[in-house]
Amino acid sequence: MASRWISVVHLRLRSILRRSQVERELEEELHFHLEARVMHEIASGRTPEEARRIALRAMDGMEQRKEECRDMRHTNAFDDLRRDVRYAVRTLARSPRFTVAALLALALGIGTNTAVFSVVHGVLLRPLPYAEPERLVWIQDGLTQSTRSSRWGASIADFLLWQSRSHSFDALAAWTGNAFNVTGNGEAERVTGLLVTARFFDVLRMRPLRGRTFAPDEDQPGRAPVTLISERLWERRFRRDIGVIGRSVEINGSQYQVIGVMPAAFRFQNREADLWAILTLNPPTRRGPFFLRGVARLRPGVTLEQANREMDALGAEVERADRKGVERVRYPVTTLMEEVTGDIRPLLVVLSGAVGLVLLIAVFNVANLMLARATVRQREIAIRLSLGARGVQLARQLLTECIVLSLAAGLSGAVLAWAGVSLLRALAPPWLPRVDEIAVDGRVLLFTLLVSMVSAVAFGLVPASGVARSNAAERLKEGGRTGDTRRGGRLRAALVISEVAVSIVLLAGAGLFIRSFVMLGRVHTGFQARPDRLLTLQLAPTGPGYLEQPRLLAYWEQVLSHVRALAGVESAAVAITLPPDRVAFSDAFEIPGRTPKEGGPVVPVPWVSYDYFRTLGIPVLRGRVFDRRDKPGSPGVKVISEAMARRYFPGEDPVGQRLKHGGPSLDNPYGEIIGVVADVKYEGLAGENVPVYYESADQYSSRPMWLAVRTAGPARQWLPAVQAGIRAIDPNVPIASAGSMEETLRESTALPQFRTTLMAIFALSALTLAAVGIYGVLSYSVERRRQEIGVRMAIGATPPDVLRLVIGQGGRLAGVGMVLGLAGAFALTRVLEKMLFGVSASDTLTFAGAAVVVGAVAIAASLIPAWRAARIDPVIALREG
Amino acid sequence: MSRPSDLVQGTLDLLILKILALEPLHGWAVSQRLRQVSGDVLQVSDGSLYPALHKLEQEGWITAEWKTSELGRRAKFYSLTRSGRRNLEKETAGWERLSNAISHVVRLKEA
Repeated sequence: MASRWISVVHLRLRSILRRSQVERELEEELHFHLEARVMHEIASGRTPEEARRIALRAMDGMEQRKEECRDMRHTNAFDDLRRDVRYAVRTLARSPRFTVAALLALALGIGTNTAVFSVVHGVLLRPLPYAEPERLVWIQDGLTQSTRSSRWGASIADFLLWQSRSHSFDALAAWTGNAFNVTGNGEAERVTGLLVTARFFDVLRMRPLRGRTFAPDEDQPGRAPVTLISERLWERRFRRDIGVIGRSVEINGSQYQVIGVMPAAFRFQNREADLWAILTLNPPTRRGPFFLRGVARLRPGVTLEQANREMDALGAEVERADRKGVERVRYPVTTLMEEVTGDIRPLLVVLSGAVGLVLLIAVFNVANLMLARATVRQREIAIRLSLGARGVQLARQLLTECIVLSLAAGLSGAVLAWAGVSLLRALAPPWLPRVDEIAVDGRVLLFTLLVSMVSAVAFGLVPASGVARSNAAERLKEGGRTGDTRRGGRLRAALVISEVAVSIVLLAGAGLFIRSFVMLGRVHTGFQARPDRLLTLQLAPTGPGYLEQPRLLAYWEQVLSHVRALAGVESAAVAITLPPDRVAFSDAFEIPGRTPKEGGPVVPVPWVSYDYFRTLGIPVLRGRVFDRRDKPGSPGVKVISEAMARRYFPGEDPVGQRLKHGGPSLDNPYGEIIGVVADVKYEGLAGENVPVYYESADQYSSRPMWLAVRTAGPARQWLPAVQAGIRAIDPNVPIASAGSMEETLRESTALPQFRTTLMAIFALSALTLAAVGIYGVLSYSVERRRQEIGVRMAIGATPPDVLRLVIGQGGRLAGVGMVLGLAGAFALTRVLEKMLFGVSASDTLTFAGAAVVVGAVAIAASLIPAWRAARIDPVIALREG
Repeated sequence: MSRPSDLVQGTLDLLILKILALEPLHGWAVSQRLRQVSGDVLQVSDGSLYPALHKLEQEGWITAEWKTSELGRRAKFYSLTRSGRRNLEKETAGWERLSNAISHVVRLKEA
C-alpha cells in the first residue's frame, strides 16, 4: 500500500511541477489513439477522409476529453487556485476601502504581536546561556528590613554560613560588581569587573578560552590573588599574547596573577565585564558590610522550594541569634532567570496581555468586515449561483480572498514587526536585560505566519460556509436582505463593544504610565542646583601611591583646588554617593538609646567633602554642615537628613546628639550630629526619601569617588578642562562616567519612558482597530438599511436626521463599550500599580481622558458611513428593493 | 466528468482493470479488446476511455510506461500494479455478488 501512495504522490507532483511534459504526453497519447483508429478504419475499407471523421467523432471532442483527463489528474485544482488568487486580488483591489481597513487591522495586530512576542522571547523565554540554566539560582539579601523594600547584599559572614550549612547546592559562589583600575603595562584603564569567590565559574559551568578558572580553595586567606581577564581586555591590552597567563598585572594598585581568559561571549547578569578577580574571604569581624550577592547551582533533584525552606531556616537561626526584634533575616532563593529579568518581567507580562487583546480585536475586526462584505455581496453571489457557479466554488473563492488578504497582512505585519523590534531596541534602556538578544527570529516569524493563516481560516469560514450552504433561488428572491440573522447582528455589536472596551483599558493603562512619567519628571530630587549645570564624573586613584589616607586626602584636595580654580566653576566637591541612585556605601548605625546596640538599621552613608551641600544646593535646615574645621584628626562629626531626624529624633533637636556607624564590634567612635539637611533622592527618583547620615570625606576618604562640579553654563563645556587638570595631576587615575547630572536623571527615567512609549503604541493600535471596527459595522448596517433609510427620507427625514441616526447607532455601541471598558480598567490597572508613580491605579482624570478619546474616535469612525447614509437617494434605494 | 451512459457506473473501471490484468496494453488496444471480448455488446466511446485510464493511474491501480507499439510508434502502455490487482479481486467479488443478486431478482416468477 505504501508504494501505491508513493506513486500517487509522485504522479500528483509531476502533474503540477512538470505540467508541459504531462500535457505533451496527453496530446501524444490521444493522437496515437486517433491514428490507430484511422488506420483501423482504412483497413476495413473506408477512405482516409471518412476514417478521420469517424475517428474524431468517436473521440467525442478532443479538448473536452483532455480537460477530463486533466480533471482526473487534479492538475485543474492547481489552475483553479491560480485563477482564484488572480480573481481574489482583482476583487480586493476593486474595494480599496474594505481592503485597506482589513489589511490595516490585521497587519497592526500581527505586527505588534510579533514585535512584543520577539521581546518576550528574547528577554523572558530564551534560556540563559549557561549549562542547565534552570538549576541556577540567586540567593538574595542578607536581611530585609520592615521599613524598607529595597534589597540588600549579603555579608561575608552570611556567605560563609551558607557555604558551611546548606545542602541544597552543588556549588555556591558570591560576587560583587566592581570597577577596577588596571595600571602598569600601558595607560591606566578603568574596567568593569566582578570580585568573585572561587567557585563562581563552577556554578555557571563556564570554561575559559585560555588558561584555567579558580581552584576551589583559591578564595581562602593567604592565597595569592589571582584573576581572569576577558577576551576583549586580552586583545586590547595584551594583543592576544598567550604569555600573559601567569604574569602579574596591577589591579587597583595590587598585584594579581592572570590565570585565564574568558571568551568574549561570556556574560553574567547581562553585563559585559573585563575582569573577574578573586574575592578573598577574610574572616569577618562582624556581620557586615553587606555587599555580596549569592549565585548557586541547585543539586540535581532539589527544588526551588526545598532550597528556600532550607535557607529560610538558616535565616531564622541568624535572626534568633542576634537580630531578634530588629529585623527579619531571610535568604530568599530565586531562579537566576527571574533575577535577570526581574524588573522587566511584570511589564512584559502586562504587554503580552495587552498585545494579545490587540490581536484578538484585529481578528474579530476582519471577521466582521468580511461578514459585512459577504452580505453586501450577496446579490453578486446570488447572480453567480444562478448562472451556474457551484457553491463550493464560490466558497473556495471567498476563502482564497481571505488567504490572500491574510498573507499580505502577514507580510506587512512582519515588516511592521521588524520595524517595531528595531524601535523597541532603540527605545529600550541600555540595561534592559538581554536587550541585544532581542531579534525577530525564525520562530517568531513562523508564529506570525501561523497567526495570519489561522485568522484567515477563522474569519474566512464564517461567510464562506454561509455561501456554500446557500440556495441561489432563495438568495435572488430575497434580494440581498438575507444572511443576517439576529444572532449575527448581536455578535457584531458584541465585537464592537469589546473592541471599545479593550481600547479603553489599554488607553487607561497608557494614560496612567504617561501621568506617572510626568510625575516622575516633577519629582524634587532634593538638590537645587540646575542639573544641566552640574558636571559629574568618577575618579578612582588606586595606585600604590594612594594606599595611605593622607595621600588620598591630598589627592582629592589637589583635584578640588584645580577644578575650583577654573573660570566659570562655582563650586566643586567629591562624594562617594550621588543622587539620584548612585549609592555606593550603606552601613548600620547606632544612636545611643534609640537604636539597638547590635546591628541597627542599615542606611546609605554618603561620604562627602565639605562643599558638597553648596555644590548640589542641598538646603541646610539646622546646625551646620562640614567645613574647613573638619579635618583628619578632629572629632568625627555627622550630618543627618531630614528623614532621619524625623524618624529618630521626633520633636527633638538632633544637633548635639551622638551617632556611630557599624555595630559595637567596630571600634568606631561616636560622632556628634552637627546639622540636619533636606532630603535628597538617593534610591532613585521613584524611591522614598530614606534616612541617611553624611560623614566627612575630608576626615576619612575613600575611592572611587564622584566629583561634582557646579558650572556657570552647560556642564559638559567644562569637561575638557576638568579632565586635563585631572590628567595633569596623575595620568594614572582613570576618569569614568563623565556627564551632566541632567543626563543621569534622564537615564534613570529610561525604563518608565520605555514602558510608557510601548503602552502608548498599543493603546493607539487598539484605538485604530476599534475605529476600524465601528466603521465596519456601521458601513455594513447602512448598506443593509438602505431601503429603510430611503423610506425615511421619502417621508421627510432630512440628511441631518440620517446622520444622527447612524452616529447614534455608533454612539450607543461605543457607550456600552465605554462603560464595560472603564469597569475593566478599574479592575485591570491594579496590575500596573507597582509600576506607577505619584498616580493612583484608578486615577479619575486618566480614566475620564481615556473615555473622552475613545468617544471622539467612535464618532469620527461613524462619520463616513453616516455621511454615506445621508447621501442615499431615496428613489434609487427604493427601486433597488 | 461525463460517464459512459451505457455502462453501470464503476463497471468501466472494473473492465479496464480486468483487461490489463492479462497483459500491459495501450489505450487503443484496450478499446479494441473491450469490443472483442464483449462481442461488441459493450461499446465504450473512445473519448471516455482516457479519463478513466488517467483516473486509475492517479489512484495507483495501474501504472503507465512509454514503449514502442506494434504499430511502430511510441505509445503509453498501462499495466496493473500489485495494489491494482488486489483491488480488481475485491471489485470482482463485489460485482459477482451484485450480479448474482440482480439475476435472482430478475428470475423471480410472478406469483
